[in-house]
Amino acid sequence: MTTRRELLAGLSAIAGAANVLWRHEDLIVYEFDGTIEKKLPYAVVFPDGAEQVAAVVRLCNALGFAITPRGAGTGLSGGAVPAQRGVVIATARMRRILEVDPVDRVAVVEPGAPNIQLTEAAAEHGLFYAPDPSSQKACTIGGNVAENAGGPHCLALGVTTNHVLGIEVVTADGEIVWLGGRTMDAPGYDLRGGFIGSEGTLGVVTKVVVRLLPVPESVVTLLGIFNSVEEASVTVGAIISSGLIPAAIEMMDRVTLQAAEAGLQCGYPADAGAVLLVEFDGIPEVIESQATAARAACFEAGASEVRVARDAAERERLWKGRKGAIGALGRIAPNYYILDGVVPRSRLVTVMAGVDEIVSRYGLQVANVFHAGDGNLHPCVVFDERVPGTLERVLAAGAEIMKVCVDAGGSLTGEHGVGYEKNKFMPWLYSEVDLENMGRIRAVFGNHGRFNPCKLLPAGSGCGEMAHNDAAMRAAGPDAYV
Amino acid sequence: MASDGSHSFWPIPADAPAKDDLSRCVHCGLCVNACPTYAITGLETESPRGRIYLARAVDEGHIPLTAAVQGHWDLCLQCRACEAVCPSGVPYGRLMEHVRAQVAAKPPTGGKMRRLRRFGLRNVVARPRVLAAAVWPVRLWAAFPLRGLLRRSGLLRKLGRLGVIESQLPARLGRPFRPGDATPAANPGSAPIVLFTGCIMGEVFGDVHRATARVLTRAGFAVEATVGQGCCGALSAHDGDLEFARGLARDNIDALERTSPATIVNNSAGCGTALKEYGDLLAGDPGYADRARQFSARVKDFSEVVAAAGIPAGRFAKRVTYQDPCHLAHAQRVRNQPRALLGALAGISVVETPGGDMCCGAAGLYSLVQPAMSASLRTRKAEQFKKFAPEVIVTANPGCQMQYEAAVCEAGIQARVMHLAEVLDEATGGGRTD
Amino acid sequence: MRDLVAAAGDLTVVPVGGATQLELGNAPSGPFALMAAGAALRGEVQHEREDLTAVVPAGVTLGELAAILAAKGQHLPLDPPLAETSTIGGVMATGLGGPMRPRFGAPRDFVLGMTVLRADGELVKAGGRVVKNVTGYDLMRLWCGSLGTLGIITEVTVRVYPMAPAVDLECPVASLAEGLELVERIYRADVRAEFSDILAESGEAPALVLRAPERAVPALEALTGPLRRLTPGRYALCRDAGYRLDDVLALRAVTTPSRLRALATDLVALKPSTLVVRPLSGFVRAAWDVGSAPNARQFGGALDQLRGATAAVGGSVVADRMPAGFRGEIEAWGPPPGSFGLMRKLKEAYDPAGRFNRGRYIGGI
Repeated sequence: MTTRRELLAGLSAIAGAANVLWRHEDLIVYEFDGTIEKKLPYAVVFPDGAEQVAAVVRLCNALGFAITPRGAGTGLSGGAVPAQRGVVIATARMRRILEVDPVDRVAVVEPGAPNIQLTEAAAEHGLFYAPDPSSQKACTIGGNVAENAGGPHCLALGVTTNHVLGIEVVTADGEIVWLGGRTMDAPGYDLRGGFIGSEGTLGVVTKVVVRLLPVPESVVTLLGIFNSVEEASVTVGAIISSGLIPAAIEMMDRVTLQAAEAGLQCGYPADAGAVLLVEFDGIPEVIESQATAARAACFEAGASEVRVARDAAERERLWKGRKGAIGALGRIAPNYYILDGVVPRSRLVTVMAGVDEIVSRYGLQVANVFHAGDGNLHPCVVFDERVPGTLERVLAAGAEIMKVCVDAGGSLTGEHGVGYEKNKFMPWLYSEVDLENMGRIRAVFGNHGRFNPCKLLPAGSGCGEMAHNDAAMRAAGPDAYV
Repeated sequence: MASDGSHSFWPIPADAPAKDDLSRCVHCGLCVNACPTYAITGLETESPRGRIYLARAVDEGHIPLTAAVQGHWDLCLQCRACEAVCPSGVPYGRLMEHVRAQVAAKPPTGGKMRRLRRFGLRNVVARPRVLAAAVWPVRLWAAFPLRGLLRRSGLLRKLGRLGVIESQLPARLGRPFRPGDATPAANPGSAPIVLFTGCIMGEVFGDVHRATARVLTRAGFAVEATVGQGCCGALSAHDGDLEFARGLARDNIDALERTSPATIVNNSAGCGTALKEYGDLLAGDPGYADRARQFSARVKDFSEVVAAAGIPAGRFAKRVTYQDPCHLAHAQRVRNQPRALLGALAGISVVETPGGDMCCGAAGLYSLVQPAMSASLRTRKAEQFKKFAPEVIVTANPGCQMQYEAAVCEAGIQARVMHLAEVLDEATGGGRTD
Repeated sequence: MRDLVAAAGDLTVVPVGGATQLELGNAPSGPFALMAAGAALRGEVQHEREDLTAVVPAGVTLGELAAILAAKGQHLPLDPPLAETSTIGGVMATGLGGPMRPRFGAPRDFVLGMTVLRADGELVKAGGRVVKNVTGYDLMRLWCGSLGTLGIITEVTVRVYPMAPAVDLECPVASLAEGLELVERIYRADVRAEFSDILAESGEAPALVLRAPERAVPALEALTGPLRRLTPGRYALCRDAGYRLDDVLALRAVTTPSRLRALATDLVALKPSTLVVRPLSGFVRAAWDVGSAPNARQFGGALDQLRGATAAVGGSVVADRMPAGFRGEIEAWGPPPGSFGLMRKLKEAYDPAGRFNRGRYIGGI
């Protein structure tokens, strides 16, 4: 039987003792990510590159420990929570921007580099990296690749998979391999595309080649102020079906607006029922007419006011509130449960009403902040887990909301990932054969059940309750048998 | 184990961090990259989110307050950069002061050092006469003609922590400025304003106080450095000595209440934050809670006062970079006024350096307590100074000023480190620096 | 179709959509049977105008789809070679893009969901019908461009776009280099041309060919000088070059922007009858008609050199068309990438017996 001491000795031999965490007090801050799930790992290791990652993977495979990759731990589907304990491979020591090439318009970065750092490095050359998740100031590129992260500006530009040209990965069986490269297309299976969004179940990303775009010539940002979410939803439909494709259309409801305004002072009208943040970019000749049309669509649907950001500072302030909105909900209650359903845009109004009905039936409060242009909803149920029975009600309401999205022809998740909590609902969308078919890709990459287990596909045995941490390991020293 | 708090591991539950403050953190992680120690280490344990989670785990009885836990808290600079970016509004500064008070009550490790530090803060820093006596030999040394030579020789670096302090000393310590000292004659009709002199600020940076007073006079104020005021207590509060800090706060309130409603202006970001938060600090003191809130409402940073009042046009033909003091930018959220004041000077060229608002590593006593992390952060600044080669580095806090002296040495560039007040003073006419 | 696949026995099945790309890849290894999948997979298109999506049976041609979408003011800006007669299933399987590839993406970028007939006769799906979706593994990207070797595509859900009024324009350029520089300048100025190709026919000066919103024309002309309306047929040439009836040899090469000029120059040296450079996707296509086709052996040597030069940055040169006599000299796909081991495992996971297109794909998969 393997002891934890053997594991720690092996990890230390690979990455150096200073780069292995094993004390309970140190591990406890690696038991969570941005969700409400938690599970304590046996060890956290910080490799410095692909070779060390590969060695760690092979060691864990040999000793029979589960592996969970982790970036900044800002994920919203429990992707970085070590569901079967084992070893967390953190990418924090691999966070260099290795290269920004303004001629080829690519950057080569390590997985632990924060999204914002890439954006800043690219900005020196008049370029930018398009996917901009709300957590971009913290989240890592490696995490973005794992989750196929989106963001407000993905409406026109696409998500992570549309912007990553190549990745160096360590597969679940410890092989180092490049998928894709520096060019836009290549013959052969698009393994790069298959890997992106695999939620850390196929391997660990160790280098990423991303495509950079020129910074838009000019930008117009509108803030449409509405009396209700319904009015705002109607406007979204009108804008999209009129043939305009804005760079972003974001919606926030009253609850969100008030929390964001209180926390971030971004100039939102606190008494509005909903706002739409609509952005166009391009050359002034083109976007001015687009903005005029969008403005008219807002008023047509009943907007009480449409503001236009006067300068970059005001635009940044408007976006700051949007990007910090989820975190700002901490002002309302200590916990939130954020959903990520997607519905066809034409069903926005009905689905939003359904969400309202479910939440009030469960006696809960919801804040809505979402990518309206994509039909990507983020109903955010706010609650206090310390009140007995609340968590159960929240999870039940969440499941009903997801069902409503699926029944409307939508999906469970648009950008956060399936992870640990939504995998059990996969059968709503896919047959047993579909799911078995998806599962085959794991074996291709050498994942036989212990690589980020219990995520993405419906979990088998060994994926018990995560929310309740077992106390056994707490007092246990490095010699505990596992 | 119960998570209702009945098994909390706090040694003094009465002064424990508030549960509402702790539960406000939803661990979204948006703070981690704002944190200097996370930027250096990449460790969740050295991030604001991690530190809060540890506090919550101790509070809920999941882990005892061990030496490892203390170590993670001790490494915190209390720069509060996380607080400024936190969408949930977690009052991190307040949390950490209470956490430190718990550690101070029963430190798992380093108790001796801690007692020594507390003794120094209580009996030297907070006592003007003792502090003056302690600073006297330093003043002599700073003016010692061979100091530069010794510095360059590298011998001083062999002195360990003393060497660290040495490297941060300004080239020349001016005459002290103490409460009651003379201030420039005000023009008729000027509004009265109270200059808060502080402890170390007045002893080591008397010239900054005099420059401050001159600029305020030009801005139309009648400046008075009211007698009876003393140390603000910030260093003690950060160290977890809340009781002593409360005593100093009460003394200052007593001393300055009679000057109400005049603005209390200060030029040290750390003190300013502490003064503005007296309301929080004394919230539980029935005799002082209201008075503390009224006091705090009168406190303004020098740059806030001057930007609002306006000063005569000035000229400062230099390449300048402004480096935000943490407690000014993150705790008081004053970022624009200093930049606006500098930008308005004729001939000036202001450069922003990446990480200009990230902690320099001075952080009060931090450079002495955590020399390695402090040096890493200073090196980051030195690298930027080398890259952007400013002629003048401007800040607004004594600790930062001292750390930048050292960063300039490290960068090997020729640059002056100045307080914003000194720049504005020089730009608008200067004055005698007798 | 399921029964046919089962009945094929040892034959490998070659699924055929619109039969526009039958020459693609290697010859099947061993005996094979063509299956008219396109004809079998016809049906009604479900176009949701407000949602900007369409569910399309695999046998529907892009020409038919375009008519349905255009009736409601929308289009699928994926205009691969010979689009009118290509079926959507075939286009996704070959993965070939068109002039709008740089702006709107490769075929895989349009796919929201897909249903596929697996080699063992099971119908499997991935993705869904909404424009943003990360529910489950992105198998669609593995299926796209796989030349049917992992399964036969039976239905595709795509994202569609509103049609925006635009004009097709062109101007002559002194050289390829000048054309490349102009495209770069237009791109950097944020004038979002829907496509911008450089077209060079043997014996004629190269031309910059582009499509842009009417409102952007003045901004464009400020960069390029006067532009004239594109002669009808020239757009189709950019799109179809290499796949027309009289093209006997065609290469498509992809590299990084910084090496594009060198690659295009090397290709010009091989005297193709038509050369299309698509700068923003690092793409060049060269086509030779019967009169200009070179000698097989010489050509093989030159191709090896080209492949060697592009391999350094992960580029590729694929021979999409070649005269029968070249088959022994030239490998259609070029050397497989470092991840070929995984590719082979993938094929084994989904079609272990090699029932679909055995031997036709890269590395003889």
